[in-house]
Amino acid sequence: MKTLSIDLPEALAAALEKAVVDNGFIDSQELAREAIRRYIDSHSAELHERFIREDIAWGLKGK
Amino acid sequence: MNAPSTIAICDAGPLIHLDELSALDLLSQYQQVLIPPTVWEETLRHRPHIQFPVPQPTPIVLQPVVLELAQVFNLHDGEREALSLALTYPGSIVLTDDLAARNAGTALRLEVHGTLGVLLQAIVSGQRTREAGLNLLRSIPSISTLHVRRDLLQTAIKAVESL
Repeated sequence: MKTLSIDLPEALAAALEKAVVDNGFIDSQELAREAIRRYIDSHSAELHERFIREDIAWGLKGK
Repeated sequence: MNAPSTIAICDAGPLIHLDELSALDLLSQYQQVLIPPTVWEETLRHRPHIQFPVPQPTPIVLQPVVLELAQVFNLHDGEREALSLALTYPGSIVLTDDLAARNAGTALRLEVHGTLGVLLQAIVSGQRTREAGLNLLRSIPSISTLHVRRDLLQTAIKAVESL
């Protein structure tokens, strides 16, 4: 396991703590792990590339 | 190319990124820009001094299909509002830089595009000269929080250079 330390704005930290309680997580670390996993799963490099290339094609369409 | 009658529904990302690039005026290429309330609140949190007309209150009815997709794609409130609003405006486009929101929008058969597309359209339509447009594109990594992989940004820049 690798340990990561991050600084959070106060409001975000408060929201994180609330989300831990509201959603039944053991602690903020468990929620953070879940959030990071979901982000990585939904932001694949292939998807990023496809959407950017679509934007390039769309943006240049009028030429 | 968007006809002047296109309605654009904005998520926070493009508003924030265009403001960072001093390019909010590029949204004038759309007939109307609709900004859901939660999106505007989020935008103001990131860009409290943004110079953009305060959006008229737009009643949003969260569509059930969007709420279902929100669970799957982990969408924020603003994204839910933007997609729900887009479903009530056939032919509109959704502007978002969030991959999850874009994925959900595509699943809803909405036309979804990001800030990079808006910038390129503006260059092609003449809202920005080629040189001004290239400067905008080249400045993205240094002055904007828009995340575009470097090689893909270079692809866009090269395409504009060859116009």
